[in-house]
This record gives sequence, C-alpha cells and structure tokens, in this order.
Amino acid sequence: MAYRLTFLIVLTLAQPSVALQQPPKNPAPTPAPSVASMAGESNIIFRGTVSKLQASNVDAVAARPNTAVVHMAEMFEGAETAGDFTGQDITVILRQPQSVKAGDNLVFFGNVVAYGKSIAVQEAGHVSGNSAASSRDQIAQAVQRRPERELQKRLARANLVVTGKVVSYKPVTEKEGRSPSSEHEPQWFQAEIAVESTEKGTAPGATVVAYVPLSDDIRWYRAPKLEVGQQGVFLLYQMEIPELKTTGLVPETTADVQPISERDRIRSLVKQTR
Amino acid sequence: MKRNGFSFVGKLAIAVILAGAVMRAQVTLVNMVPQARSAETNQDSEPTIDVNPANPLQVAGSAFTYDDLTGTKMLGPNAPIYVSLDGGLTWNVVMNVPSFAGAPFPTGDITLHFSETTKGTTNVLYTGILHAPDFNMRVLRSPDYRLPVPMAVLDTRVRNVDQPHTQAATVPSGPDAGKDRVYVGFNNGFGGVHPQTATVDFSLDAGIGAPVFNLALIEKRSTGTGGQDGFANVPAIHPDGTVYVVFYGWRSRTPATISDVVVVRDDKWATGANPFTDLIDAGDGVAGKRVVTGILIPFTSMGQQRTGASNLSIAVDPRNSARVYIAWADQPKGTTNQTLHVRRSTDRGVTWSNDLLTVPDAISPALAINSDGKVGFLYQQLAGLATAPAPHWETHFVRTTDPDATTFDSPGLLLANTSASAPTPRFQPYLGDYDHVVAHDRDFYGIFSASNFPDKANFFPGVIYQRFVDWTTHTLFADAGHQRRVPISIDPFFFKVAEPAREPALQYAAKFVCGKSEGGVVAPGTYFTAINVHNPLEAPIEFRKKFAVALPGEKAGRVTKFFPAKLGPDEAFEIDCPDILRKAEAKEPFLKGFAVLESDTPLDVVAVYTAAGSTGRVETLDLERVPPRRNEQPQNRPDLIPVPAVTGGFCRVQSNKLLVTVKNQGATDAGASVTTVDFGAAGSFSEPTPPVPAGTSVDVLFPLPPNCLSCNFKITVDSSNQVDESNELNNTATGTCSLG
Repeated sequence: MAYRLTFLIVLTLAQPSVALQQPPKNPAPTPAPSVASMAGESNIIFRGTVSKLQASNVDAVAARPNTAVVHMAEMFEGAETAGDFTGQDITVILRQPQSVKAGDNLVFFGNVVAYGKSIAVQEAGHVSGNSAASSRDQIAQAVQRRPERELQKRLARANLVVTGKVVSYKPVTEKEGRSPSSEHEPQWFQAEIAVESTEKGTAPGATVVAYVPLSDDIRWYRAPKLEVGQQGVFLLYQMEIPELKTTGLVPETTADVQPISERDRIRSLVKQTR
Repeated sequence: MKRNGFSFVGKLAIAVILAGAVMRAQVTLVNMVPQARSAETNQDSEPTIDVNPANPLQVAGSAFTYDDLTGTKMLGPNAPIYVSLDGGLTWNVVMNVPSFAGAPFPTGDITLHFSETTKGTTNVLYTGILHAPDFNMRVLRSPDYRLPVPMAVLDTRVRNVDQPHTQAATVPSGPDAGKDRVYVGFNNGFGGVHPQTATVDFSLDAGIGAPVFNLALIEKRSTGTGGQDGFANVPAIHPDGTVYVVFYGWRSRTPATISDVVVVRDDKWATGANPFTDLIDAGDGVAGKRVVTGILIPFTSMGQQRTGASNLSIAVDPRNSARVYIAWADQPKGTTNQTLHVRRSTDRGVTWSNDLLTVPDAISPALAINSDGKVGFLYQQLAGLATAPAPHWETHFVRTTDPDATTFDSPGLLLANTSASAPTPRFQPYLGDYDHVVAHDRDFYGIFSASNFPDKANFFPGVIYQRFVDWTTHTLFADAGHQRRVPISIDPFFFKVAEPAREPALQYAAKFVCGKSEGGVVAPGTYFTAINVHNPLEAPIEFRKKFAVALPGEKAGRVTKFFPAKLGPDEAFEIDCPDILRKAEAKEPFLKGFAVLESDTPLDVVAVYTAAGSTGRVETLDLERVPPRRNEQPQNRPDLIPVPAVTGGFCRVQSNKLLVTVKNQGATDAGASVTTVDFGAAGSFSEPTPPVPAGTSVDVLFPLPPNCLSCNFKITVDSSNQVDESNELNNTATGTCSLG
C-alpha cells in the first residue's frame, strides 16, 4: 500500500479548524490510517491532481499552508450527497501542510466543510492515485459496508430488537383536544407489536408497546410512521418521554424499522455486536 | 395662532421628507444557496440573519439546512450556517454548528447575533440552537463565523426547552466597557415542567473563557390553565443598557389558547438582583406591561405553514431606547387565519399605540429600526385566497415614511410571490415559524424562505441566483452544462434595502460674531451672538449643527464636524458665543463665521447680535430671522455605463467568457447592481455586480453560448434598476462576437 501519508498530525475530524488556523510546525508522527478506515469516516472520496499549494477557491476558506487546490479527476463517493465535482477544481484542507506537492496524483478521503463557488474538503487522509486501482476495491468495499456499520451502531445502541407485527396503533390521548405545549410536540402514538422473535434484549411479553411520534415537525418527521399489520424488525430505544411523564421504547428513525427480509442479517449483526 | 405661522413650512418640510422617503432605495435580493450546492433539495426554512456591526460586508445567516444536499440525515458532526463576505451578494455554506453525525435533522431552532467585540478581522458571533438530536438548548460562540470550526458551547439547558432567540451586545462605556452581554429568550420547561416558562438565559460577560449564564423568569403572573407561556420570548437590546423582551403570557388553554402579549424591561443590562422588572403594569402593579390581553393564539395551518408557533418581534430605536416597537400574531374574532399587528411605545413601554399596521392572513413578523429611526417590517402573507386559482405566499417588506415612524408604505416592496402549494412540505415549519430582519446604519438586511421555482416574475426585479438555473425554461440544474435537473425546494433568500443617502431637507446658516475685536475688520468692541433655535412641532426632533469659521483676507477657516442636537416638542435652546468658541476650538479672542444647522423638520432660527463698546454696555442690538434653504442635489448621483474596448466594440473575451466592464462615471459611489447580457434566442445571463466607487470600473464575466460563431448581444448595466443614476438612458450597449 503506497501511502504518501507518512506523518499525521494529532487532529480529529471534530476539530478541522485547528488545521485551518494553526498548522503545527513540528507534527508528531501518528500511524497512517488504513484505506478502509479513512473510507469509513469520509463522505467524499475522489482522485485528483494537486494544482496549487497554499491556495483556496472557496471564499470562506482562506489560503494557508495547509490548503491546496486540487483538480478532481474522478469521484468514488459523495456525488449524491455532496455534489459531483468531477473535472473541477476544489479546495482540500490538508491534515498536514507540505504533505502533498503540486502535480501529485492522489486519492483523497474527507468531508465537505464549506460550499461556495466550489467546495472545501477537510482531508481525513490520502493515498497515491497511482494505486487507485488497488485502492478502488477497498474503497468500494468500505463504502458498501457503511450502511451495515451504521445499522450495527444502531443495533448496539438499541435496548430491544424484535421481529413482529403491529397489531394496534392509536394516539396517546392524554392531552386530546388541548393546544400544543410546543411546536415540536411529538404527538405520541402507541404501537402494540406482537413479538414473533426477540433479536436483542428481553421482550416484556408476547407484545411490546412502542411509542411513535406522529408529528411532522423537523424534530420528528424522520421518525417511522407505522400502520396496523406492518411487519418488520423493530429497533427500540428506552427513552424518557417528558410529555407523557414516563419512559418507553421508541424507534427513532425510519432506519429503526427494517423489512422482515433483513431479519437474518440483523441476527448476524447482533451476534457480532455482542 | 403661533403654530399657524409655521404650518405651511411644516407641511413643506414633511413633504420634502416624504419625497426623500420615496426616493428609490437600492434593493438586492439573492437566493443564498451557493453555486456548489446547486443540486441541493433541502427545505431550508426558518431563517435568521445578522450583520457584523463593524463590517457590513460580513453577514451571517441560518436556516434548517443539512450538511448534505438531500436532507436525509446529517453526514458529519457539524451543521452549516450561511456566510457572506461581500455584503450578501454571494454566499458560502460553512459547517460550524455542533450537531451529530447521523442525526435526522441538522439543528432545531437556531438564531444568531454578532457582538461589537472584534477578534482579528471579524466580530464574535453568538448562536442559540436546539441541538440535534437531543433538542437541548445550547448557547454557542464563534470568534470567526467564516471558518468551518465548531462553535464553542457556552451553556446548555435541558428538559422541554424551545426557541432560543439570541441577542448580543458589547457594553460601550463605563466600568464594564468591552464586556459581551448575551440574552437568549427561550421557553423553559414547557409541557408541565414549569408552570411559568417565559425565560431569559443571559450572561453579563459572555466573551470570557467560561462565562456564567443566569436564568431570569420573566413571567410574573399566573398562566392559569395555560400551564405555561407561549413558545417565543424575543429580546431587543439598546446600547444604553436597556433590554426589552416580548413574550406571549398564556392565561388559559381550554378550549383554546388565550394569551397576553407582555413586554418586560431592564434598564441596566439585567445586572440587578431582580432583572427585567423595571417596567410595571399600572393595571395590576406587576412587572411586565400587558400590551394586549386575551388574544386567541391560532394553531392552524395556512399555505402549508403551521401558525401559532412563534410570530413575535421587537425592535428598539438605536437613537432612543424609549422608542420600542413590537409585532405579534393572533386570530381576531370573526377571522379564520392569523393576523399580524404592529404597535409602538415612545415612553419605554409604559404606554402603547393602537395598531400602526394590521396584516391579515400573515406569518413571521420581523421588525428592525435603522439609524434614522425608520422602521422596517418583514412579513409573509397568504394572498389570492379568494380570487386566484391557488393561494400564494407574498413576502413584503414595508418601511415607515414619516419622521415619527408611524406610517408604513404598505404594501411596500414585494420581494417574492411564490407558490403556497409547491414544493410539497417535508416537515414543519414549511417556510419557518419566523424570518428575520436587522438594520445596520441606514440599511436593512433581511432573510426569508420561499419556493425557489426559478421564475423572475416571482421575485423583486434583479433577483440573483447562485444556483445553476435556466430562467427561460424555469429549471434548476445541478451543473453549469445544464445536464442534470434539480427539483424545486424551499431556499433562504437574502435581501438588502439600502436607503438612499439623503442630506437633511433643510439648512439654516446663521452668522456669528464672537469676542473682542481690536478693530481692523470690525469696529473695536466686544461682540456677542446668541442663536435661538425652537422646535415648532409637537414631536421631538433631532438635527445637527456645525460651525464654519470665516477668516479675514478671503481666507477660509476651519469647519467643524457636525454635532447632534435634540429638542422636545415646543422646546428651544440657544447657541451662544462660549458654545461656538468651544466647539470651534478657537484660540483667537475674536471669531466670525457661520453656524450651520441641518434638519429634516422646520426650525425657528433667530440670531440675536449685540455689541458693547468701551463702556462694556450694550450699544447695538439686532435680531435676524434665519430662513431655511432646501438641500437639492439632483446631479449628485452615480452613473453606470458599459465601457467599450479600445477598438470601440464590446466583444472582449477572457477565459472563454465575455468580459463586460462597468464604469461609474457619476459623482458618487454606486451600490451593488446587476448586469445582464442578452444573447437573444441563445439565452440571457445576469451577474451580480459589486459596488462601483465614483470614477472607477469593475469587470464582470459572462458565459458565451455554445457555438458562438456570430453572437449578437445586448449589455444592460444596472438591469434591475437598483442604482438611482443621474442618467438612466446610457445603460445599454450592443455588440457582436465572432469566434469561429
């Protein structure tokens, strides 16, 4: 693996700005992350040629020792979510100044941190573009595995995972007829799920009660909307529900209601998380 | 009878003022989605804005904008704000608001505000958010809003908290000078956590490493069966330390929500033991003036936008903290939708006017007051309910036209007229539970959300899109080549209303002769001048004065700066020799010249001249009534023209683009404008054009149509008529490019 990334400074993606503001003069060496690791934490992956050092083509990102303008040749990941910039110049905020040279052909891993007339990408790392062919498979695999990893994280966090069928779905009527306490009021519905099998945790009985917000407010609109007869694998999280003055099991997003065809895969993932 | 003598002059002056008011303001309207996010389909609703008080080219905006383009979930740990570095003409999106990777929304409610504290080349920005995904309220601080650096978390509040409305200011003088003060009005503990919830979270020194934040419960009355207060608690700060907050004080909730609109005030930055208790309601002796009582809060929907969720605004006159305006929404009897109201107080909130403005079927009131005391009011109104086949959202910005700022130029500027049925909402709020406007000096800067359907007929002339767009086919594209279509969505729009620079309408030049003359120029003796100034109006006025020294031998003396002056109704004061000598910083024992008074309203100016001879007793007395002179500067304007190449033609190509040079040959600077090049059937392109100082030029690049073998085109500078020019007839030029 022909990494050009030799010495990584101690920076995290959560602090991209440190690199923007004060690139360290004597960075401490850190192990080079793997392609899979970088791909896993990056929402944009592309191959490009460094065209100008200490430069920027995004107004909000000033040219500094750790910025470079890169001509993007091909995009492996991120076109749908960040936009397709193939054939265009973009700005890369390097993890380490002087880690690239003008004319270098590299595969960059990172996340978009600013949009203007172009984009600025906070680099997670880069590898030689000449090894793009060998890296491509690893990148593809890492990208393909991303949904699975996200599901795995959700499964690890869920208190109860059951396969079952919604047998009743009705509003919690505690405040029926009353105007809302907040524009973000969840409008709780109560779903009774007949448990066919328990994939994680301990179901309290043959049925499980889940609380589901029906609201279309920005806070809740991504929550799953259920219907009687719906079958699936339900990932449920124990939460405080202040509006009802209780705690209950809640599916947070649509990703927490998986089709029943996913049961075997979910069982396998649950085993891996143990 | 006395007043009758001035009535005509008064009317004349007011007419002059009104004429000034209807002078064209320069309006800039920009879709804020950056070009690199042309593929974006998010519902970017509920926007707010602020302008760096030290540099109005620096503008920050917020909305419900995801870090990705599709609005499915947060990809990274930080949500964006909108950043402009050129006064709002172009925008960037920068990830610096702490969020959560994977969160189903970027932030909940978000508002932002600069303080007056400068760090490096920008000012400190404070932001209040409901953090994703937990919905805890966080107060954030950024030393440089332009950078993709996560803002620092200063304070966190939990358990049913809502709508952080953030204001910040820096103490200008006194022992606390330089301290940043931040006031975040929010609904603390709704839904039964607390029985009274109208609250301000504030810090008296928010700029330090670990600032202390304090909670002040501003609701002092029972909320009855309401069980809590309304959602919005909105502060406004005056630099003299006056802080107002307006909130909905709920009183009952069964069968409907009945509320008061309450204003509280603190006169000393909320530094006392009982903050926000300086305004007592004479009706019940309780802190918090009930401006209106018993209104109905509607929780309905209009034009796909929910009602009742926020709809409060407050603004304080930067010239005078006693002058404060509020706007709120309710549902009057006999109506089905929400109605907006604007009222004002001139006595620090003690008494209030009736409605200065009432707008039915409307949402999102937002007020601002500029440095002249002119009030701007932004709102969105559902129009066409009865007549059109489909209702539509009209976004209006109205401004006051009279010196007392009580009459609005309704319907004012129609900034946008967009569909109320498309696009389909993804969530609520569709357009926003609020929008926002602020003032910097004379100018207003605002933000609202609306459908981005690209039809110029839907927007104020000269609207600028940074997105790739085909205006002819009304299509959005993801790419410059117009290959990938993008569905319409809700976008944030920035607007700026630059009030025309205007000299005061009236000028008075009164001769002064002061001090002891030894002879030579005037007879030996001691000369006295007393210039008496009277305000004949029944309203307070502000004007300015300066002194121009006249030297013997046809030499010009120094001219002082203008000094501000105020007079209450019917009040008078005197400018006498000691004042003049001090302000003119005179070292000579004898001084002559002119006292120059400039005012928008008529004044009585009478100069009294006395002179004493060797006895020291008065020997002459003379009174002179000084007449007003009207300021007229018709030629004092910019004049934009397209500049030809040295060859005389207009075809100049640079980097495969058409280069257009816009020159301002006028006497004064030109503000931002739009230049358009029309290639006929091959399309028309408009580009924002930056301000052009007098006597200078700027270059603007335009795409050339494909296969431009022989392209005829017409250049129009200031194509949206934003610049008030001395000559409006020299803005166009035609040319031909042959690139075969």
